[in-house]
Amino acid sequence: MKIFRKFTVTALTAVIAVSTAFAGIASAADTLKGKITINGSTALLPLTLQAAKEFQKLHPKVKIAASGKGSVTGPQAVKKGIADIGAVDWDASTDVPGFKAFEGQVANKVAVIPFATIVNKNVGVDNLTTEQLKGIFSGKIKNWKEVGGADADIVVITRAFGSGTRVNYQAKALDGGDIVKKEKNYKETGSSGDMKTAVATTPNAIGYIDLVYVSGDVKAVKFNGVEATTNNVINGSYKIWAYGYYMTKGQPEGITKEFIKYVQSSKFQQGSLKKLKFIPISAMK
Amino acid sequence: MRNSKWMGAALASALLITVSAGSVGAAGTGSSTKVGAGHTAAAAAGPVKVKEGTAAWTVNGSPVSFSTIDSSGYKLYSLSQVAGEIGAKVILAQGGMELNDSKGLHTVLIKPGAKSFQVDGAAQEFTVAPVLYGGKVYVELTKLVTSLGGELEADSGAILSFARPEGAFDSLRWTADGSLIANKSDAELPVLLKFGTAAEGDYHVFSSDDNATELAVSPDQGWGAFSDETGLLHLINLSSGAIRALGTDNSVKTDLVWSADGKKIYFIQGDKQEKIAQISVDTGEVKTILADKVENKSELRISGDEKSAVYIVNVTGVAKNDADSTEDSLTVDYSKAGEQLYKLDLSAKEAKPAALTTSPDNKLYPEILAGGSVVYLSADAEGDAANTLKEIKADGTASNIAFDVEVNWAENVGSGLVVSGTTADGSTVIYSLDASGAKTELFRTAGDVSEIAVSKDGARLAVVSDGKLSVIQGGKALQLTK
Repeated sequence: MKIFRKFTVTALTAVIAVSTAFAGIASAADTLKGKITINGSTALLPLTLQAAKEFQKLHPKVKIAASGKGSVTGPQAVKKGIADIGAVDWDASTDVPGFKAFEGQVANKVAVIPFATIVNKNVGVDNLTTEQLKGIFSGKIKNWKEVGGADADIVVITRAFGSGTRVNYQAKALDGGDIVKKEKNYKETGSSGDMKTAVATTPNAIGYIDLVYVSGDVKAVKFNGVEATTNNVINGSYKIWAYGYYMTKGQPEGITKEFIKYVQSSKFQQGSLKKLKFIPISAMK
Repeated sequence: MRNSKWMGAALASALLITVSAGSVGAAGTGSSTKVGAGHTAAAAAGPVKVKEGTAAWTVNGSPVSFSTIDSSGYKLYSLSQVAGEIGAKVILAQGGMELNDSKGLHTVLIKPGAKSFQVDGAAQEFTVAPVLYGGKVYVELTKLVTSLGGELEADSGAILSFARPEGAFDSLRWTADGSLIANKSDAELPVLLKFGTAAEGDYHVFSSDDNATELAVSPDQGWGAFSDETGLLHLINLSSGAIRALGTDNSVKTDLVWSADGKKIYFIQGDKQEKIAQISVDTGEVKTILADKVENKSELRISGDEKSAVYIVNVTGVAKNDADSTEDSLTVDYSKAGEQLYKLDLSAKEAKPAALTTSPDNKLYPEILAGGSVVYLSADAEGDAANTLKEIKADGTASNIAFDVEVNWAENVGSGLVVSGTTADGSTVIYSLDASGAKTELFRTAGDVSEIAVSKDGARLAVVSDGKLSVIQGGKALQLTK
């Protein structure tokens, strides 16, 4: 076989003692250079930063600066020209309850994000229906005993207006129902981390969160009898999930296009994205 | 060549059977140069002049002289000799010959005189029907070799018993027995192939676990560690492929790093990658090493003596808006966004991480050298400076490590660094850099290099160059994929 066509093996000496070396490395012909700015969903931020790290190994001279402040700030930042990519938990090129479409923006699917209803670990309820959740978040159901739990006031924890998690939870879990602000037993949080902390530390609390954030300090409850798992999202039985998008002003171009292609690539989707507990977009086809 | 005597007798029988069936012309014997053409159409045209000869090839790297005949303008090869050389078995079956490759993957049915033949039950066609001549069957070489799963390259006159796999490969890992594991990245479903590195065409599917494509390999190269989509860690035996779960912790884990003694695996932990932790390989017990609430840690490295850790914090931009999330109120400050290196003293209780860098350049491939220095690749995204390898010594002084290439990859391999870079003419060069700073060029190619892996003994390099996986050893390159 012609195996010496382009190689010059100079002197592979035994100077190397230990290695588990591996890398996907930049091509000698790599010319990509510049800065990509990304703002928006805090839920998508870990995915963005992981992808940025891997993309920069292929293109060391591309700088990727990211920030998270809630989904709506993603397309807002793109519209204002202060970010190249707006990370958002809904398709912001279309109208959704509470938000008009961002005209001229293109929604690029990058992930599937499952959400879960969570309660404080002192709550004895394990399953809630759509109607029960609508009652709880609208304020009509005020006590856990009304849904099969103990005699205790329900404390509603919700994300602030502009959160993609909130938009999707209202659309999917509450079937479009409202989250009504209450005088007491009600709190708004600004991020997924704050939501988890609030539910974990507030007895009788209920909230909602990206499934990736569910851990032993809170309890995820079933939705209409179905457990919140990635498998149940993929098999279609669990309905509280959404696509995550990268919004761009028009079709993405240049290094922005290349970065989005990397995030959508099989290598990233089937590799790091899954290990960060997102679901590949191809799994929903 | 195997079974030659047996084959001679068998083919004599086949000849008698075939002739008595009257479907082909009488075969020549001895040194006669006239032979029935071997298929009905040719037979009808009468005997064809045959010229005997030989052809020089290599089979699996060894030179072989094949017996050939020139028939109707085509060079045909001795079926029994070719089959024997590539390790295929031949038996008489269904009025012809059944050939099976040594792995039992392919079955080929050939009938002298018939253009049509079968490969694994599917019909295929020779250009020229196999010919009986001198008690032997002669066939087209390429179709015989490839039908049996082999590979043939006419330009170089080389035959492999087993074809090399084709496609895109990444995530190269050496194993303790000198094999190489690579992820076939263009497969519909993830699949790891394991390559023997002594000869081409020696490979098999090692694992189809779609989480195992990115393995952290143990120092003895006997085990690989990986996390799955639930956060659980698993160990895969790099010899047998057997997988077992390690512990029950299901938090998000990235950047797995084995301790030098192979007893622990360090990792970045948490859905916001905010902690550093370790897990005992023996017990599966997880222990938090650092929980400073600083998010977005990555690229963890642990020194050989486990006294220090180095990692990157990806500092995010700062977005601000009002309580109603109005568009007008939104501002984002990216001025501090980017990667910064931190070092943590693992030998001191309650030690606080210390920032090693504050500059805005991209920082990749951090490594801790034996003397305590930290090196990393610095890339300038906004200026015109070439990528450089920077060293921060234990006393905090920083300097550039000079290379005559633009560095694009570096890794600590124990006694020093292996560094890859691009020359002014676009070639890729791989160097080793020992503790004294002496550089040795290991490998140079005009092609692109997209993956590099160095064997434990340092005697072999694996590279993916222009999409082809090759192993460099003993001053030679062996191309394992096509």
